[in-house]
Amino acid sequence: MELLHATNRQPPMINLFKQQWWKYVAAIILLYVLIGGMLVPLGPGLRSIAPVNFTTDSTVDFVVTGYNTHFQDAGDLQVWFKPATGVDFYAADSIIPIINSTARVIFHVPTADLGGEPNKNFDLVLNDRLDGTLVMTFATVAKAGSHTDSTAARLKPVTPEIVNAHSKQFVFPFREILFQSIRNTFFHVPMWFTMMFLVIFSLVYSIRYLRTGDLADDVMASQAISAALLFGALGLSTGMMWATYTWGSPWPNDPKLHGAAVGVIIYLAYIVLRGSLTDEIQRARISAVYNIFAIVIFMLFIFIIPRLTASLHPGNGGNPAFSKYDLDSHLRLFFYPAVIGWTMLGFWILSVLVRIRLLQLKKSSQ
Amino acid sequence: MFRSALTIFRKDLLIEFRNRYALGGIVLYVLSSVLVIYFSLNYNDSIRDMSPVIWSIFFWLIILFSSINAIANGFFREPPGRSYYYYYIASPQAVIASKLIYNFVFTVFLILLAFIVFAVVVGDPVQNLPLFLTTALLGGTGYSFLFTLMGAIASRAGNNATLIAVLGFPIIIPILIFVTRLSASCMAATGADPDMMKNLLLLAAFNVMELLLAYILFPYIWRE
Repeated sequence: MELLHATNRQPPMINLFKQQWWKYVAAIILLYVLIGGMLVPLGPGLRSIAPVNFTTDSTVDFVVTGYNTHFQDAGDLQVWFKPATGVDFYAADSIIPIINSTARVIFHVPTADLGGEPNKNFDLVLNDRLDGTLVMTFATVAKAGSHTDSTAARLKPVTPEIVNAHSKQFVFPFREILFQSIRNTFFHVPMWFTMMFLVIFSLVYSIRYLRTGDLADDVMASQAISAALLFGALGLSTGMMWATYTWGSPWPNDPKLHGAAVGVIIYLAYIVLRGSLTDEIQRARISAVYNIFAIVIFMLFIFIIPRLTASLHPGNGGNPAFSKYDLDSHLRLFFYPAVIGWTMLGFWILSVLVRIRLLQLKKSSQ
Repeated sequence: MFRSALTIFRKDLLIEFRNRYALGGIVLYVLSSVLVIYFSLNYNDSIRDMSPVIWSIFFWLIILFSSINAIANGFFREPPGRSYYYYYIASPQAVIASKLIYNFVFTVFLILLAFIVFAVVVGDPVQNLPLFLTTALLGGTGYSFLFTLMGAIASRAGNNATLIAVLGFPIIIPILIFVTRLSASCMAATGADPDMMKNLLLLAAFNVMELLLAYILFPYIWRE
């Protein structure tokens, strides 16, 4: 009788869950993110320079390869070499754009400029009107040649004159290692956010259940964990794909990954715990207790443990947080909608799960 | 509340000493796990070059398995009808307090026992004994509090021994990280580890948080 009474009561969110408008909004936002996030081209960047190693006191003919660059169209390509540990810029001797993505750059380094070191790293800095400033760090290494000419003139530092520092086009930033996979920012990151939101939502309803003893609250809490696990699995798989192409392995040794894995296991244990409790009321109460416990550990793993050791993820272990400069204004135009869209999709899935469960309970108590 | 907690604690202790099979079983459990590790290392010629980190990981894993066994027993041992009797004589807070104290004493006993056995059989690389004892105390607190709560939850789910491992292992990992780091820094030959104080404080804070959660949440587990 108590069960019947409890399941006939409606959880407070159910009216919103039954409404349609926000589901259309979610679909439109996600379509915008999917289409826009895939169609916006990647900005200009430097792909390679050859040769990487060269000897001093000899004129070297470099071939610089760019990606989505406009070396020829811009017509004002400038190239500098900058010691990786220094602040001076040295202009290239001559620059010959061959096609938009390739340019020949002639440069030489006198042995005296190595300052007695056996070799010296140079960053490559390019600028043109259309592409803005492009940098490739540690691009080439100058090695002291066998014959040294101490009378040769040393390099003269120049002050770069830059017309336009940023690309004029509407593009996503070109980042070494990431390249086109930067679009995964609209999938991987919001999926974890969605999992976090669902887990916190579940926590709120678990606490509510302990206060009210209303089984509808337990339905909300438990189904939110199911939806969160789905998004956890999505976050893990997109992350593993991303890591394969950027960090070289699907499961690099990274504390944030460990936290995510433990989080998923903790919530799988929640499902197992619910499965092994047979009495409805007891299942609701015990799993609510475990849920409160689980989120504390989960938060510890996501926010505290990664800060104890080095991490590959942005924002940890000395890596910049992605809000600092990994996310430029063009990425933000899709990233924030992606967070909203995936979160709404998560709650959409949750609303379906909750409604199914409530109907099942209603049927079984009749 | 404290009086009834102490009474239940004394009763548990008394039962433990009267029925020495359980206690003896756990002691033997520790001994045989140390031996398993000793032989598996010794017959692979790797016991000489075992680093302090490996030592502390093996040590705390043995504690993990033996304490999860011992503490799971703590809740499983009670006959089903006994809890109804407790409802009449003690508040849930008193019951959890007695269980926490009992399991804490038991786990610290296990840690000291395992340490002695480890030191004799495998070798004793600990340089900083006071720090190791502090770690043992704090780590024992963490292990016992967590497993007590998980044991209580598992005891409601039909005393399922798999369940306590499934529930307990993922959430013991933060403590495992802290204690292995701390015991590794006990064994460092040179000076104090700069992270030592931070790890100690985090471990202590974690224990306080567990205590609070146990105090607030146990009544919900206890209620039938």
